[in-house]
Amino acid sequence: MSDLNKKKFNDKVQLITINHKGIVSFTDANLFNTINEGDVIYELHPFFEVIKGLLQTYTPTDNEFSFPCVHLAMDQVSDDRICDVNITIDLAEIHIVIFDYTLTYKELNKISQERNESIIRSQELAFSNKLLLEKESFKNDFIANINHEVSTPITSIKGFLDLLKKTDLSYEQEELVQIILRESEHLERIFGDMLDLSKIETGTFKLLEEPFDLIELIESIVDSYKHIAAENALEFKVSIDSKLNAQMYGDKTRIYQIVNNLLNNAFKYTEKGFVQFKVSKKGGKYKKQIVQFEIEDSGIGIEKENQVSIFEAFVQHNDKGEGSGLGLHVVKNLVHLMNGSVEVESEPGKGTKFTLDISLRHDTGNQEEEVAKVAKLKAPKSGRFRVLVVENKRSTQYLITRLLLNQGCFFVDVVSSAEEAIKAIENRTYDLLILDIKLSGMSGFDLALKIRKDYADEFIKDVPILGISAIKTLNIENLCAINGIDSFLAKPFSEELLVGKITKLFKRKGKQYS
Amino acid sequence: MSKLSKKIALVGPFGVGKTSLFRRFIDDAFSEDYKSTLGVQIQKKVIQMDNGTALSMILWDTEGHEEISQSRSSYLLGSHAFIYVFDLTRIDTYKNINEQIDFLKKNYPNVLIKIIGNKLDTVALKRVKKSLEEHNVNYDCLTSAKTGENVAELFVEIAVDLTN
Repeated sequence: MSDLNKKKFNDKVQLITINHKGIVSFTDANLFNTINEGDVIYELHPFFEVIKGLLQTYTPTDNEFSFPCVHLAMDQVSDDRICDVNITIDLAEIHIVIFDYTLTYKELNKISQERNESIIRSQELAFSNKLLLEKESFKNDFIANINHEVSTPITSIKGFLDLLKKTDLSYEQEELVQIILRESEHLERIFGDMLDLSKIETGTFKLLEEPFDLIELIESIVDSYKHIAAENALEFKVSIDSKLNAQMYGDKTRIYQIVNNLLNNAFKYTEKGFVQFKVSKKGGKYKKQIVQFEIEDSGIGIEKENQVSIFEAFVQHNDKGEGSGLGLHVVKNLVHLMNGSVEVESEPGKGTKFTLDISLRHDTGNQEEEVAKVAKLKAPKSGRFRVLVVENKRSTQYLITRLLLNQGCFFVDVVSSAEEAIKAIENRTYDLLILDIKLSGMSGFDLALKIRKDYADEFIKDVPILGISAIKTLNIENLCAINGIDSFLAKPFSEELLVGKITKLFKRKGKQYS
Repeated sequence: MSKLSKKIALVGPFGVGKTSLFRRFIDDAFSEDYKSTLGVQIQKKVIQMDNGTALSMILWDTEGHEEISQSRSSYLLGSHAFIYVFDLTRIDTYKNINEQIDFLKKNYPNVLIKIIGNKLDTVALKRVKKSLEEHNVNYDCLTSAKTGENVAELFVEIAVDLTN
C-alpha cells in the first residue's frame, strides 16, 4: 500500500484490541484519540456494552459480529461519527474494527429524510381526513334524518293547506293560508339546500347525465314566473337564442334548481321595473355547447364590498331577512360541479345581473375523444418534482397530496400559511407551488408577489405557481396573473384537471421530464 | 449496592417519535423538527431503583422501518426490552402492528415488549381510541414526547419489569 493510500485508510479506520474484561490492550487512535491502552472500553461509549452480551453467546464458529451505521461520539469533534463496527471474539482477545463512513451516511440520510417527510405528511393527512370524514358523515346522517323527519310533516301541512284553500274562507283567512303555504315552501327549500350542500361537501353528490329538452326546460321555467311577474306588476323580458340545441345531456333538475334560484332572487328583490331572462348559445367544442343564462333585474342591487361574499354559505346582504343564506352557495357549488361559472354584476339601487355559463353535451357523441385529450395532459411517470402545497384547509391538503402522490413523480411538502411557505422555500428548492389564494394571514396574492419581487435566487423567484381557490367571481385569472401566479385552478377540481394544469404549466415554464 | 445493565431497543416505523422519546428520557428535551435517524444511536441512563439496584438502561434508538423485519438484526441482538412505538396520528404505523409484534415475539421470545402510541398531545383521545380498537391495537401506554406525558412512567415501568 502506498503511503498516500495508507494515510487515507488510516484516516477512516481504527483498530482496537481488548481482553475479555473490556480493557484496551491496543489501539491505533486513528479516529478516536481519546482511547488509550488500559481504558475500560465499556466506559468509553455505551455501544460497547453490547460486547458483554456477545461474550455470553458467541461460539468459535459464530464469533464475528457486524454493526453498521452506529453513531459514535468519543472525542472532541462536534458531531457524531457514523461508523460501521466489526467485532471478532476469540478465546483470548476481542478485536474491534471501526470504519468511519460519516460523509457517505450523511448523504444517504438526506435522501431518506426527504422520502420519510413526504410519506409522513401524507399519512398524517390521511388520518386527519378520516376523522374529518367521520365527523362529516355524522353531520350528514343527522341532516338527512332531520330532512326526512321534517319533510313528512311539511308535506302534510301543504296538503291540508291546499284543502283549506278550497273551503269557504274570508279574504283575511285566505291571506293567512297563503303566508303559511309560502313559509312552508321556504322551510322545505332550506332543508333541501342543507341536504344538497352536505352531499356536495362530502363528494357524494352525483350529477345525472341524461337526455333532456333544453327549450322545454326553459319554457317551463318562464311559464312558472310569468304569473309571478304579473302578480308583482313587473315586466318579465324573455329572450331565447334560436341557435340553441334543444336536445342536451345533463342534470335537468339541477339546472332548473340553479336558474330557479337566481330568478327567484331577482323577483324577490325587485319591487318595480323588470326582470330579464336571456338564454343564449355562447360557443363550445368537442360536442359540448356552452349555454349562457343571464338573469338581470332592476331591483335593490348589492353593495360592491358584498359582491365578493355573495356566494358564501350563510351570507345574506339584504334587509328582508329571507332565505337560509345557502341558496347561492348551493348554486355556486352545483355550477362548479358542472364545470361552469357564475358571475355577478350589480349596482345598488339599479339592479343586479347574474351570468351563468354551463357546458352541456348536445349529442351522444364520442366521449373517448375527450378522454384521450385529457389523458395526454397527464404528467409522465419519469422524473420527480418537489411540490409545496400552501393550503390551510386540511381536507384539501390531503386531496392534493393524494392526487399528486398517485402520479408517482412528485415529492410533496405541505404548509398551512404563507409564513410557513416562506420558511420552506428558503430552505428547499421546489419545482412548483400550489397556492391557495384565500389564506388566512398573508394572502396567496401577497405571497406570490413577495416571491417574485423579494428574492434574487432564481430557483425561488421563478418557481412556477399554480393558484387554487373556490372564488371564481372576480375575474380571478387576471388577478392571478397580475400578482405573479402563473396559472389558476378553481375548486373543486378533478385529478385530470389538476395534473393537466401542472403539465401545461411545466411545459410553459420549460421544466424537463427526464 | 448492586449494578445491572440492560439493553432496550426503540423500534417501529419512521417518524413515530422514537428519537423524541429517547431525547425526552435522556436529556428531558424535545425538538419540533423531524430528523430521520440513520442507523442507530446509543445512550445510557442510570436509574436508582427502590431496591438499591443501579440500573444502567442502554437505549438503542434504531432507524425506523415500515416492517420490523427490515430492521438490522444486529441492533436487536441482545436486547432485554423492545419499545415498539407507533404514531397516534398515522394509521399506517399501527394497522399491521400485531404482525410486527408477532415477529418480535417469535424471533426474540424472552424479550420484554412494550407497545407505545406516541404524539398523544396532537390527537383527540376518544376518537383515536376508537381507531385503535378497530385495528386491535393492544397498547401498553400512550405518550407525548413533546409534553413529556407518560414518558418517565414508561421507562420506570420497564426498569421495574427488568429488575423484578
